[in-house]
Amino acid sequence: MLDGEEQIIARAIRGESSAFGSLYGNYQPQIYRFVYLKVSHREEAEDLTHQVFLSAWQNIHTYREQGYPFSSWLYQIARNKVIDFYRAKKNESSLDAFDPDAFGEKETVTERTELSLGLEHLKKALRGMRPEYQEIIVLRFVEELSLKEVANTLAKTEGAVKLLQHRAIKNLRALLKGSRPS
Amino acid sequence: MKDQLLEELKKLKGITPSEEYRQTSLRLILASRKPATVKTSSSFTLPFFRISGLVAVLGIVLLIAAQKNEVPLKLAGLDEGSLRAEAKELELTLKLAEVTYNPAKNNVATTALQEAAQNDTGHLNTAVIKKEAADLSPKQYINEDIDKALDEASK
Repeated sequence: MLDGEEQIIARAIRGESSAFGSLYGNYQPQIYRFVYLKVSHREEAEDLTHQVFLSAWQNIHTYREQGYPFSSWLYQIARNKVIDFYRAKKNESSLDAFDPDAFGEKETVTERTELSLGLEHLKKALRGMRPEYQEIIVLRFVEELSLKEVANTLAKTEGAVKLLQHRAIKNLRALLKGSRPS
Repeated sequence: MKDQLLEELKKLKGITPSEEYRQTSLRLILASRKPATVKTSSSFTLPFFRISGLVAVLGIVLLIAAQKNEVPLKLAGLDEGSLRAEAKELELTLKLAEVTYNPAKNNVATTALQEAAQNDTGHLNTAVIKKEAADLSPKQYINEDIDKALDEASK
């Protein structure tokens, strides 16, 4: 969270470009990561992140301080953009889009028995998870948001987030071991 | 193992967009149109409420001042003094009309009473009645020429 964020947001709502620039500078990297880990393509992640902040700038007057960070609002926009992206892509999907590596299909038996924690492997594993689990993993363990922040972002209770977090970790571990998700 | 996994996940924080992309994207965003409510709230809504609020406050102040007679209203139609003067004039006119009407009525009534007192029941006098009856007699309307013509015709 930025120092004096409330004032910066108020200035941005009044239309001050520099104020919005500050918010962009602070939150753009994490929104980009969030989107990138869901779509896995740099260009698509860049395009969607751009759309997220464009939408935020044009609708910043709708943001109301509700006791949780501005980032939660941005994550909500990002989630919707990604959902729209996959909806649009649904009709275009084909067998070419299927990546067997994401499920460890080509790994040897030896490799399967030990956890391969290379970043590429980790990204592929994340890609194989349900969107809800992806979000929990990224927000909680990559961005290190609090349970409350994640709950606000995903519109869930903290208890539900804890439960989802437990399942997401279990699922990720299973994927890294090369087994199919439960 | 979980700790190791979490450590690896934290490394994903190293994923960052290129600086060139960041700058270009921000420039394009800020070059887009301004947020809508900034225009509506500042250029129309707020001034409207400010002006209407000011007018309402001025109206209340004027009403209170008028009630306390601190600020006399100069409008002719609303001038209390002129209204009172008009009302007084109306009353005077009514009284004068009554003054001119009442003596005339009084004279008629007096004359009638005096005549009644002098003639007593003259209007019921038998001579007068006989005279009126004679005036109404059908003989008065007999035409002798017609009678003669009728007699000749009957012969």
